[in-house]
Amino acid sequence: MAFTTTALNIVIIEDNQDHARILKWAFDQNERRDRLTFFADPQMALNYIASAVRESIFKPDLILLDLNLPKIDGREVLRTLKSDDASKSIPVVVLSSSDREEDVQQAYFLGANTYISKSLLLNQLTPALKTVLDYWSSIAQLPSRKQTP
Amino acid sequence: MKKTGTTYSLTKHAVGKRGTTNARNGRQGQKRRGQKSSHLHQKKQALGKSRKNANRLNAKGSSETPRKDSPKRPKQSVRYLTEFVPVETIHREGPYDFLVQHAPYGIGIVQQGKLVLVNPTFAKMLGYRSASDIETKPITHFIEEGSQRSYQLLEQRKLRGEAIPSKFEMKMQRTDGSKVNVECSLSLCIYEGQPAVSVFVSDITDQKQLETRLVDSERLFRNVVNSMVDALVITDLQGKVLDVNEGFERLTGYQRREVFGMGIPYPWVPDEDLRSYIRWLERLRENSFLKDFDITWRRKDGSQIAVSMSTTLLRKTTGEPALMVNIARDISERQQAQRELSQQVQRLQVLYELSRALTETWDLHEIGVKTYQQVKRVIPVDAFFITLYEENKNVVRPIFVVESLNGQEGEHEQTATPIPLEEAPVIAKVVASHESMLEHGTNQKPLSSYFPFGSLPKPLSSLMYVPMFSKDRIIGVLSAQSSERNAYSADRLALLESIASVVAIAIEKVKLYRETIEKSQEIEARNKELDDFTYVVSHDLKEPLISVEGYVKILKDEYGETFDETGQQFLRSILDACTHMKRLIEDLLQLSRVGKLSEVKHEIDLNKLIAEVIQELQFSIQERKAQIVVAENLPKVVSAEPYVKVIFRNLISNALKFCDKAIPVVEVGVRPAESPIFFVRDNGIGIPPEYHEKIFLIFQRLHKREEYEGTGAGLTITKKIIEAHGGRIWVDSSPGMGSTFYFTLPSS
Repeated sequence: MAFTTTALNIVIIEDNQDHARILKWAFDQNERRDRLTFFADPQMALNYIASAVRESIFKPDLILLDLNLPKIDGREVLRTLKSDDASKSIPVVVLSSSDREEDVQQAYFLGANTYISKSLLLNQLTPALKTVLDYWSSIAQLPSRKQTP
Repeated sequence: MKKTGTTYSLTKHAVGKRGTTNARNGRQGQKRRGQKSSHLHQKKQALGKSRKNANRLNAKGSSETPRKDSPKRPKQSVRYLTEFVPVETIHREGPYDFLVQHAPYGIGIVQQGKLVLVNPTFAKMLGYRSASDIETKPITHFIEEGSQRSYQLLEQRKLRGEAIPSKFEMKMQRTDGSKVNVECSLSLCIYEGQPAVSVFVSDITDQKQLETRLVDSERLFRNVVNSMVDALVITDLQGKVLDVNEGFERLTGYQRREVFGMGIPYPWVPDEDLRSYIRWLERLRENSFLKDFDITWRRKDGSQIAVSMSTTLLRKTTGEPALMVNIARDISERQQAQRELSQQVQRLQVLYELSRALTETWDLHEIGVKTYQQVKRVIPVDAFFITLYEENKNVVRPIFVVESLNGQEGEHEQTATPIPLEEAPVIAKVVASHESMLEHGTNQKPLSSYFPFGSLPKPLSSLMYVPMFSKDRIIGVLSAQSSERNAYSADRLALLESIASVVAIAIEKVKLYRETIEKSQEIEARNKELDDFTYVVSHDLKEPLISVEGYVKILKDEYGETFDETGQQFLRSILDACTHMKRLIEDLLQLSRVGKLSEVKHEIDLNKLIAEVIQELQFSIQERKAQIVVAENLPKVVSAEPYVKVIFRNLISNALKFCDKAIPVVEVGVRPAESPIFFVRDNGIGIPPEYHEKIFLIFQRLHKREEYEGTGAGLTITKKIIEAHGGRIWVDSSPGMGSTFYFTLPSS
């Protein structure tokens, strides 16, 4: 599994500092050396992603998106990401404190690639992250590989 | 006694000459009589009667006899006698006498006004025993007073030789005082040589009575016929009018004498009805009696009248048809009554249809439209409006205003604009008096003066204003107006009042409906707000909880070794508290979601569903060694499965939880009813009555958490789900006796 060991550019959009810190801790638990970029402000995150994709510098391989965000709702962020040709190929993992079936379905409907409940975060984050990263690191390479030639 | 050889000396021819040639004829007659009377004279002499009388007659009859000989008798009379008196010979014996004696007629000879000779029949007729009882008495003695004068006149005329009726009737006086009707005839004769009058009388009392009866009965019959209200026309078989009654005269205006002998076509049968009239009469061939032929008759004055005819064919005793009797009854009143009745029926129908139409109406303007549609069916309107009275603002608010002109209707649009009551004085008057108003012939200001939009070119001269009431309160005024003069009657006003009361009910209903809708929308909005609030709050509560849990987890992982046993215990307690907090929040979230019960509903097999619930609770059931008894064939319900599952899960797990018995027994069943009542019964600790309501409130716990775990939201969620279904839940329980929770759910 060559790709899993490759360090990924991961953008994390999370306004709750505590949650961001716990996430960071969880990432630190594995041996990977992924590049994590945290954003509390969704607009800044979108701007960053747009310019990163445009300039192909630190192009995100994976986005972790909290749905409960200030100013712009996480769902709106998701819709924007998935409607923009430049960013729609980047896998998005939705993090939410809601276990509601509707919320989960809505997230997938809007183009989320995975949905992880925050209540399960601590118990599951490490294995979940591992699965996601293993899986998405391989998939995430696809567009860049396409772009390479 | 007998008259013999009564030979009149004068022929008819002679009589004819009499008037023209007085004196000469007289002389000639005298001569002739002289010749014939010689024979009489001989006979009289033979009888031995006084010659002197005879001579006197001769002397009187002679023209040579001076007038002074009989100064009491006019000369003419004497002359007539000599000329006209038949020459008779009276016999006192012989076969003639027998005949006279036994004749059924009274026969008498009157001379000088006295009865000189009568037969026994005469005497008996008057109630006397024999002829001698009345002989020599004046005849007038036996004639009833009322008849005396006419008798005397006739006798004198006879004696003068003038023509008198050959028979006449009079009443005679009987000896017992009673009267006898007689038919009488007079003739002249010579008795004892003197002129006399022979009187023949026959008793006609019986005949008279019969006649009277006949006349009476005919009069009675005619009176009856005339007293008939119906017109009667009697015709022959060709239809020629033989008689009509007064009813006919009244009905048609034709007089009896005018129509007598008239044939078909009658002037009172209109030409257009003639054919059917004749066909009607032709049907008499099959039926002798026909009835109920409704036809129009034309009066003499040209007006028309509806009649119903019946015709009878009268037959002779031999069975041959003889007459047609037509009876015509004036049914114009009946038709009028029918018209009135159908008018009433139409009005009732209008009221019925209006109230039915308004039942389905939930809009004020639509009430106006539908009311107007019905009103114009029964009331002529050029303008019509309904206004609502708003007491607190003292304004009227038109909900519907329409005016029609030349068959075109125009509805005013800005009907929502309120109008101060002082600008609508007539409406103000109705509102103040609580009374309807009917105005006639007044050149009232047109509608537009009350409502500042549109106008009619013609003034509205008939106006009705009717208040609409809700209980005793005026809620509005309804008005119908017409440009026709006297278009409205008290009758129509009453009708409009009935309509107004129907409309008032509909308006009140719509108002109530609106209020209810508004209120329930308000409640719904408030509930939704509450649910949204609950959702947001519980969501927000979750975030720091996740942080707390996360940090504790990190503490355990990173610094676990630095904590002693107590510290470790505290960390576990924090995690336990977090778990409990999470459950509380989950319950709140669930509760807030029940309000949005919008999942697809379908039929649910409860037995299957409960089996699943028991499976889910398998762990605690086994742990408690509990018995769960579920009734078979529970009715199916219509709902969203997850919610129904929550109901049974919460109730069954509560039953297991709140039990101090070694073996909890839980019974799930149903009480058959129109809407089935489900129940979950346990043998648990029971609930004191004062808590029967309280247990359904959120986070209400009757026990310490250490005794019975749980958040205290379960029953609240259960209740909310059931109520969202339109059902209800209640408990029957007392401490130590177990509890039974009853609830209803919509069944299929």
